[in-house]
This record gives sequence, C-alpha cells and structure tokens, in this order.
Amino acid sequence: MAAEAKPERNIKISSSDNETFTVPRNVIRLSTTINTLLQDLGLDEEDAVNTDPIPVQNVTAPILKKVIAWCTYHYQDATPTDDADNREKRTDDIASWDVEFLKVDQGTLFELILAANYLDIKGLLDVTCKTVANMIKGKSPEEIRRTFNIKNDFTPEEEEQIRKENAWCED
Amino acid sequence: MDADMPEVDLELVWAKLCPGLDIIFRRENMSAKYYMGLYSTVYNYCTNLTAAHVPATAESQLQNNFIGSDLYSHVENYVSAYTTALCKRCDDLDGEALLDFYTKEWDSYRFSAKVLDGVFSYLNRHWIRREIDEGRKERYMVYMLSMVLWKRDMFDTLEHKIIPAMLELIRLERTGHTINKRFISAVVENLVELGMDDTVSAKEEEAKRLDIYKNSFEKKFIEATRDFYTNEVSVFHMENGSCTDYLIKVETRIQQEDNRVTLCLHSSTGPPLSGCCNDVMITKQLEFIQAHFGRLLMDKMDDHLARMYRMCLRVENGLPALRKALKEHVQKEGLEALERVAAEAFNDPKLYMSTLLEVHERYQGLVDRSFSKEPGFMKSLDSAAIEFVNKNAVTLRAPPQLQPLKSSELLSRYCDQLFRKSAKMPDENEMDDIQKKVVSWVGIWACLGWGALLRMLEVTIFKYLEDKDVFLKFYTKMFCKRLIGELSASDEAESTFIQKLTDTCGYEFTTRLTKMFQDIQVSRDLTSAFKEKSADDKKCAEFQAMVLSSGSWPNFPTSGLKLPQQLVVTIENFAAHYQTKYTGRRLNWLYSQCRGEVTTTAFKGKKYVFGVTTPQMCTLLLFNEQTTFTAENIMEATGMDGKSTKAVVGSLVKNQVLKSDKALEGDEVPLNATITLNDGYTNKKVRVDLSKMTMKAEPVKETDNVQKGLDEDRKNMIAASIVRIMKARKSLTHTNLVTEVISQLSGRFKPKIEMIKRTVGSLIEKDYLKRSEQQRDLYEYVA
Repeated sequence: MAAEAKPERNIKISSSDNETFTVPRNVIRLSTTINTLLQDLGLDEEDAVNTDPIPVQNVTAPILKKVIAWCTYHYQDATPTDDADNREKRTDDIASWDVEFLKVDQGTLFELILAANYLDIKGLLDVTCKTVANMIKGKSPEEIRRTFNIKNDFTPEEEEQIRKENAWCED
Repeated sequence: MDADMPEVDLELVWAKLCPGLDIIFRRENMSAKYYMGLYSTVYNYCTNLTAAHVPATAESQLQNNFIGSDLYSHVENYVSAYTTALCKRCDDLDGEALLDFYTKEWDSYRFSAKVLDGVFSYLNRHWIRREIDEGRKERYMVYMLSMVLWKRDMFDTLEHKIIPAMLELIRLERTGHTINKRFISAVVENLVELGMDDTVSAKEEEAKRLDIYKNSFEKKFIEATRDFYTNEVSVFHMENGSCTDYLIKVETRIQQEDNRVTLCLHSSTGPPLSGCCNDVMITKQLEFIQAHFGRLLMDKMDDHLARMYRMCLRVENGLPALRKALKEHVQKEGLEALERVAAEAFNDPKLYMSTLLEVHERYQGLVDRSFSKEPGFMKSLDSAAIEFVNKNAVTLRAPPQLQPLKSSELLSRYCDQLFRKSAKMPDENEMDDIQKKVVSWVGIWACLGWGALLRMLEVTIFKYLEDKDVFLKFYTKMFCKRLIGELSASDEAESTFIQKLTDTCGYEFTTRLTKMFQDIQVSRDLTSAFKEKSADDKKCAEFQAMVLSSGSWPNFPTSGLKLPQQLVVTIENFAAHYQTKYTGRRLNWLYSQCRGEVTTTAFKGKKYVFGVTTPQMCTLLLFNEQTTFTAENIMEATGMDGKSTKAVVGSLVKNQVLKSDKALEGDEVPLNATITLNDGYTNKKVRVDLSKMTMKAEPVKETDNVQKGLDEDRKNMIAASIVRIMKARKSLTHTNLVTEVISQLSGRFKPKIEMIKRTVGSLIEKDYLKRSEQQRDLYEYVA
C-alpha cells in the first residue's frame, strides 16, 4: 500500500525539564493542542523544516512519557462522534488496559489529568477523571478526606448545616 | 502567591500576548516554541485564576466570569481594531480593485483567525464554551468571533459597493468580456462562511447558514439576471431574429449560466437561477417558440426540433402543445402519403404497407432521436398512427361497409405475400430474372432478419389496428391456404409470427392458428411413416396427406368424386395406416382441397408435368382410356355434380389442354359439349400449373364472407364478455358495464356502443340479466 510505504513522520516534543521525545505524527494527533499547532504553523507540509522540538512547558518528562505511552496505545481508536458526547456518562466502562495503565499513585494521576487538559487529549482526560470519580464513589466524606488527604476545615456546626441541606441525597 | 504562579494580572498577560497577535495578523513566521508560549500563557492565565482564587463561594463564579470576559474583550477589541483599520483602506477603492483587495485580505484574515483560534483554544474550550452553554448572547468561539467582526466592520460597511461590483463583473462576462472569476467565487465563499454560527445546533445552522449569501447577493443577482435577459430577448425580437437562432442562443445562455453556478456561485443558486432563465427566455416566449414547431417538422430539421424539445422540457406546460402539433402533423403526413398512392395501394398490400411504415419510421426515428423517446410524444405518434392506419384514402375507396376492414385485409395480404413461396414456376428464360428477385427478397430478409421484419409488422402497424379480429379472420384464411397449398416459405417464420401475435393479443387469440400449424406438422410425420411402410408397394402413387382436425379449420365444401383406381388403392392404404395409429377417428376426404401432378407425353411426345387439382386430375386421367368425351360422360365418370364439372372442364379447356366443340360460357363448358384432347398443345415450360386458373376472382368474395361472419362473432364475444363481467360484479350500471366491455375487448376490436346495447337487450330476453327494479339503469346478474 502506497500510503504506508511513506516513512512515518516523527514530531519532536520536549518536556518542561527539557527532555526530548520523538513521537509519530499519527500518535501525537491525539493531542488537539499539538495537532492544531502543527496545522496552524504549516508544519504538516512536505517541505516544513522541523528542527526545534515543540516545548510542552507544563508537563514533566515522567508524565509526558506516560502520556505518550497512552497515545501510542490508543492512536488507532475510532474517533468518538458527537453522539458519544450526549450519551449517558458512566464510570464503569474503562478498558482493562487503561485500568492497568492508571494503577499509579495519586500524584501521578492528578498530573496526568493536568497534562491531558493542557494538551487537550480528550480520551485521556475522560479515563483519568473517571478513575478519580470511581475513587470517590460510595465513600463517606471522612473516607474521601482520607483518600485524598484533605483536611476537614468545617466547624462541626457548619458540617451539621451542610448535612441537613443535603439530606435528600443520603437516603 | 509565589513567583511560579504569576500571570493573573491581565495587563501583564496581555503585554505578553499582544506581540504574538501582531505576528499572527501580519502573517509572519512563528516558531513552535513561540506558539506554545502563547498557548501556555492563555492556559496558565485561565487555570491559575481558578486554581489560585478558589474559595468555594458564589463570588468566585462571578469573578471567574468577569476575568474570562476581560481576556475575551481584549481579543475582541484587538481584532475589531484590525478590521476597522482594514475597512478604512477600502474608502478609496471601487469595482474590481475593491473586490481584489477585499478577497485577498479575506484570505489572509481567515488564516490569521485560524491561528488566533488555536492560540486561544483553552479560552474556547472552557470559558467561552461555558458562556455559550449558558445561553449568553454575543459570545463566540474565537474563530467565529473573528467572522462576526469581519462581517460587522468589513462586509456590512462595504456591502453597498461590493455587491454592485460583483454584478457588474457578471454583466461584463455575459456581454462577452473575460473577467477574473476568482473575484466572484471568493466573495461568494466569504458570504457563505460569514453565515456560519456555532452557537446554534447544526440543524438550525444548516437552515440559516446561507442567509447572508441569499439576502445580500443572490436576490440581487437573480433580479439583475432577469433584467439582463428580458432586455436581451426584446432586443432579439426587435432585430427580427429567427426562431432557430433563438433556440441556439437560449441553449448557449442556459449552458453559460449553469457553468457560472458550478464555477463561481454556491450550488444552491442553481435552481433559482435556472428558474429565472427558464421563465424569461422560455415560459414568456413559449408561444414564439412553439409557433415554429410545425415549420421545423416540415423542414425535417431534427436538430432544431431536439433543441426545442429540450427547451420546452425545462418549463411547466411546455410540451403539451408540441405533442398535439406532432400528432396533427404525423396524421396529416400519413394521410397525405396514402392519398398519393391510394389508387395503386388499394390492391397492392406491399405498397400500402411500405407507405405506412415509411411514415411511421420517419417519426419513430424523430421521437427516438430528437425527443428522447419521451412517453407523451410516443403517445402522439401512436394516436396519429391509429388515425391514419385505420382510416385513410385507401380504406375510403372500399365500399362503405367494408371500409373498416380494408386496413386489416391489406395487412393480412401483406403477411401472406411475405410468407408465401414465390409461386411462379420459372422457365429457362425467366430463370435469371426470378433468381434476381428471389435473391433480392432473400437479401432483404437476411438484412432485416426475420425478427426485425416481424417486429416491424407487429409494433408498427398491427398495434394500431383497431379491429384486430378482422385481421385475424383474413389472416386465418390465408394461413390456411398457405398450409394446404404448401406455400409457406419458412415454417420457422410462420411459427415465430404466431408467437408474436400470441404475445400481443393473448393465447386465446391464436389457439386456432397454433392448432392448424400443429396439424400440418403431425401430418408430415404421418405421411413419412406411411411412405416408409409402403415403399415397396408399387400400386401406391406418390402421396402426401394432411389430416386437419375439424373445428380448427374453416369449413370446406365437400364434393362427390369418383377417384381413379390408382388413387383409391393409395387412399385406402393410408386410411388403414391411420386407423392403426388413431383408432376411432373418421377421415373425411376433402378432394376440393387436394392437388396433384400428372406427367404426360401425350402432346407430340414432349414431356409435360401438370400441376392440377384432384377433380382436374380425375378428368385428365379419363383421357388415358379414350381421347373424346362429352361433358356429361365426364360428369358420370368422375361423379362430380354438374356445376363442378362445367368449371373443372372449363379450366382445362381454357388452358388448351382440352378442346371443346362449344364455346365457353364464361369460364364454364356447357354440359352438352364434346371434349377432346388437344393434340396440338404446346407450352415452352415443362411444368405447368393448371390448378391456379380455378382460384381467380376470390379475394372480393372473401372480403364479403369475412364481413358476414364478423358481426356474428363480435356479437358472441360481446355477449360472453357481458356475462363474464356481470357474473363477477353481480350488478352494474349501464355506463360502467359499457366501459368495462370496451376495455375487455379493446385488444380485439372496438365494439360499437349500439351493438353492446343490443346484446344487453338480447341477454335480458334470455334471462341472463335483468334491470333493477329500484334503478332503471342498473343491471343485475341472474344466476
């Protein structure tokens, strides 16, 4: 097939701590931010001189590496249609590969969320957020505080007040 | 707040972004690093706002909105300043120069807006998206915002100059100038893009997207088009242009306008534009165009006719007048063509048919080629053909009661000629000539092929005959004669034609023909089996029998005849042979239909072979015994009645094989005449057909017979049809009954209402039907 015979174009990106990664064009496409940049600056054209890596200022090397790994696994997925947006949101449909992939410490997980947001990678943002949602689901406020290491800054009165106001959702 | 988390001060942020926007709007090169810097600045500004100042209170929401909106209005102001400045530069521009500037700037602007949108995509995705979702008015994604501002500051201000400039360019092109089409198409693209609106649903957008294009440009464009062509048409008439020129002109114009839509305009303009052109150049000129249709038909200008057809096809009600004119013209042509040949064609089926076919073929060809076989025109041709096939100068020459039969008669005779072997018995001198004729006939058949010939007959003329039953009657008669006389040129052709008739008129129509045809096939096998069996029996004459089942064939007159001994033996042997195959069937010998050959050396030793009928044969064989008889002697010896004797002997006398001492009375010999063998008989031919002499003068009689049988047959068919209908419907009004009868029988003939009424009357008398007691015009079926 002629299209595949063409050598895969690679894009260089660098992390905030100046580590450079080389990523196939097709893979980095999942980042709308980078994808738009490449289009806007005409870097997709045949004769584009692609020298300097694209700086991804807000993401550190370990996280960027994870992000690239995720994109490499998912780049051939079908792009979700608009319909998918309107579907009922669920949190129990995370693919098993993603579940394994996201078995990381909380700090990494949150940094992945930030990176997905910054790079505008919708799929990654979805699964990471769902993962966090699953961590909250079915837990009491105290448990949640423990899970995420949050200090309770309510006074007992305030807490009682809120509990009353939200009694409807506690069964 | 520490140093790593700055950039919540908008003025500081904007100071960073502004040089970037300058680069974007100057379309200068930008590095990926710089681009990412701008993106990150926007990102950090937006995220830090929320991250740094988030006490979970209602005010924070407000503040968030407020500050997002600050950045938004900075962008808006920046772009607006750009577009406003751009607009200023158009102050002194007009016409083409303006379009040039406008479209070029537009291209650049779109590009800048796209990059701008990329840099601010984080603002798009979060703050603006939320604003739009909350239904806030006048908030757009950054790209859309750029479009809105372009429209407000550029297009709305310049519209009054741009649209007329476009229309003027189009006018120039219509008057033969070459223009830069890009000016038109680029503005059109611009207008379509300005109609975009991403704050509403896709469906709503689809509906409204073209509003600006339609309202600002298309309306005025259509108006200008209308004015332009209205003027052009009136100039054309002032200069007395011809209709054919007009057709060509309109066709060219319409093609040009189609191209314009494809090349420069939005495809949705196609229908209104062609509607406008059709209206001005065709609908309003329809009378002028159609008035020349007849002239073009007469002059056989098929290309112009095709063009006129295509023009009129474009508009409502363009074709009916042409269809009507075509029908009238073809009918007239057909009638005139037959008028010219009426005298000869009356007795020349071939000339008659070829005249009909010629007219029909000419116009079938026209309809096929120039009118794309349009069904309405097909119908015109058909109804014209029905008119001139059934009633024309040739049929009018027949006696009044026979007029409706004439066309059928000629068609069936034509078929007979086609299917018949060339009956002439050639002698040496004539051989060449005949061969040529035969060759040319075969040539014609080979060229057309039987299939084509049949199709020609079937589709062209046969389908136009109103009274197909008349045709069938004639055809059956002649078919019968061909079969018995073995005159068919080809069995295959005969059966193919019968098949065609079956296809057109139904199985019932041709059962009789099929049965007759089968009888002949069966007889052939029978005869050859008989021949094998009696091969060594010297007493048998060479002999061939046809066994016709009674009922399928016409009634033949039976006549008494005493056969000579040689023949009697043969016939008895055959009868015996037949009985072994089909016991219980009775054979009646129809001597009147038989023929034979006798070989003689009685005349000066020269050998002749006479083709004769059986009575003739019996008569001639008598002269083996003695050479003189009285006519009465012959009558006794052969067992014929007086009238047959007179005719048979008469025919032989007329052929000069025999001599009579009394003069002939017409073609007959008086019974008291003395008949002798004519020793002096000579003929340069060796084979002489004597049988044909007795068959002359029959066609006229045939026509009479057909007419007589016909009325009876038709009455029966109508009666049968009425009973069938009433049995199914139980009760029916008079009008409905008549309509149904006519439609049932239309494949066969066109029943006269009068005849239907009479048949109903007789059926009521016979108690098949009765009139309803409540309603006089309602019939009821009596079970």
